Amino acid sequence: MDDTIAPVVHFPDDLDAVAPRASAPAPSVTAPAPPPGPSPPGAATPAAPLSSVDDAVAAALRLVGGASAALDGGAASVPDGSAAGEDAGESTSDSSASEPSDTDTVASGSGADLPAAGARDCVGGPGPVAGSRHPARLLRPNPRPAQARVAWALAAHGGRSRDKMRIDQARREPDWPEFDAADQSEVNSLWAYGTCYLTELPVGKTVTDTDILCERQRGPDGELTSHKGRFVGRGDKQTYMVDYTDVWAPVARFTTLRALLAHCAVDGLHVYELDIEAAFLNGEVDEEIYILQPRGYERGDPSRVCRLVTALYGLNQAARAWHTTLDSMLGAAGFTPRSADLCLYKGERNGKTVHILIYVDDVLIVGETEAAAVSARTAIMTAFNAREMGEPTFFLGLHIERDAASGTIKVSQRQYVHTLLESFGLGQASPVHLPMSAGTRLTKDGAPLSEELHQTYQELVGALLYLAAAIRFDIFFAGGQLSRHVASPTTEHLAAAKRVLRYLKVTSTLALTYGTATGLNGYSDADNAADTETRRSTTGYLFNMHGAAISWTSKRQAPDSL
Amino acid sequence: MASREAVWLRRLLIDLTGNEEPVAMRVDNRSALALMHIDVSSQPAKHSDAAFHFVREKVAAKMIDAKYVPTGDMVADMLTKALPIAAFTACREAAGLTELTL
Repeated sequence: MDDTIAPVVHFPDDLDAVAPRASAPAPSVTAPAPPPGPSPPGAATPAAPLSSVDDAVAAALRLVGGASAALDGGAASVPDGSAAGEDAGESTSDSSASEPSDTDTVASGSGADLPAAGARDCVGGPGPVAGSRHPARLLRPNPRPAQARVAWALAAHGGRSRDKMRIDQARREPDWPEFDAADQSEVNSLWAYGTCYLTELPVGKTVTDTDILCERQRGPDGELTSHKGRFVGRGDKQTYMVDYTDVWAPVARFTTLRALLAHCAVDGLHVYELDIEAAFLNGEVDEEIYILQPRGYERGDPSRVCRLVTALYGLNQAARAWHTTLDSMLGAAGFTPRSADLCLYKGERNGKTVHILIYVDDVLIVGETEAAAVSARTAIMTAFNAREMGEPTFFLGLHIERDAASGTIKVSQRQYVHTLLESFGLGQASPVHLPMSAGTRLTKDGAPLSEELHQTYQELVGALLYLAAAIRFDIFFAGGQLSRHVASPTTEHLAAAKRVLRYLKVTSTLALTYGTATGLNGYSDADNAADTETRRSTTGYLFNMHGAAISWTSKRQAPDSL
Repeated sequence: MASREAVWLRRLLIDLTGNEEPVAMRVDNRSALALMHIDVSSQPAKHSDAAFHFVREKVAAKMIDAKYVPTGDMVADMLTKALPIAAFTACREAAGLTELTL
């Protein structure tokens, strides 16, 4: 296996401006490492044609598959599940502690000379090399070792949190005592809240299974702050029309939030944020639901079941029950939902207008005067157990900075961008100043990606689209183009997606700045059938309010539309 | 499509501020603009009549105020094509996405 695979794997260069060219392959034990020059001697197919790249990547991934499995298995034995060492903010000592075992597994398991640990080091290695982007380079073999590429894929996958698990997994974790305490306090609060009461299961009624989810909570720099247990109902075991009917609940549009912030900036309104704690436990359920007692934390006879009084996290109707409860509370307090956005409420306090924006359990209160806003806040806080957050600085993943002197509000997402770059292993990427080079048109042609990279691509595009929808309209067009190819992405599409990440790296501190102008201005544009594959036009519009964009889109028109 | 969003935004703004002014729309296609103001129907444009009727109605009802803007000042350009850097940066700044200075 080693002599066929190891020296042969080469990749199109363009995909990988990230991994430093300088890092030579880690010294191997059995077979000679491929020299970092082009076309190593003795390679079976020196210049792997593009069509075989997919196979090569797949083969390489299979090779380190043993290592990857070892990473997963090793997670249980290494503190904090950091065997993969890819979580943002992991200490280096943790990851280095786990490396020898990875390497061992690879060497003994497959006899190959792909040192997974060394490869991983490449990702976080020294400075990047800004290569030329000439298309011809795609056809030449990659002078760098394959490990770097594979490491990239692995790092991208390791970006997923290993801090969330079910209780049966948590029992195997080294920090189970902390989880145990957290779960105990969750169950205690369950009884204290009066969420449910013990009873016998009536004949003819079914009982819904339950579970406890455990999570390590981390601070902004990735340090462990606390353990959290959450008692949940198994919504997937519920029966439609018996245990629940409607499940929908509205959430606020981002546009509404941005318009509200723009309005605040210009009119100098007072803004407060509230976080409703254990919000779903406030929702009242109409259905008669019986659930199992929390396993391991039963009270009294374990054969008795709980009759639910309020909703429980995990149940299908929980979000809707909560929204209905909050809606009727706000209605009683004199706030009515607006037809433009059902999550924007308007009412009066002391003769002054107050707007309330709700996003599930996050609440934004905007008052003409401070007294009016405080009065509305008090009304909500008497009804629900809520945490006062003061002026919002971080709402729905958006950093909100207010400059009272100049009357502006700045909205940015720098933290999300940083986390994104870290989790895709691009912390060291070389910067670019355009998300997509001018005139780029992605087509369907090219070498398809391996299954693993395919999934990575889909995750990456999803993250980019979230950014683009929240504040970064500058990558909206690029994100839209990339998302047209999530079904069958090629190496070119992945390269283009990585380019957007490198653009984000330079521009992570860009912020929408409201309050530098006044008024609403719309812009609408189309590109008269520039898509050569479908002959359809792309339409785009953007609305500026008080100096910055509040609403935008870019969309391929339906045939014959306007 | 943009005009539907404009109508919705106007409704949102009435809720927020009570301001009932028409929403200013900028278009860089003179013939599209002409169609928005005058009810003419020519053979080639027949298929898009229904859509134009919607826009025309909103313009007549003073919900939308459609004006011409030269392509160079068209901010939405960055949403329909990959622009060269100068135009891209200009669009980005015109739409208020600027460097955060703390």
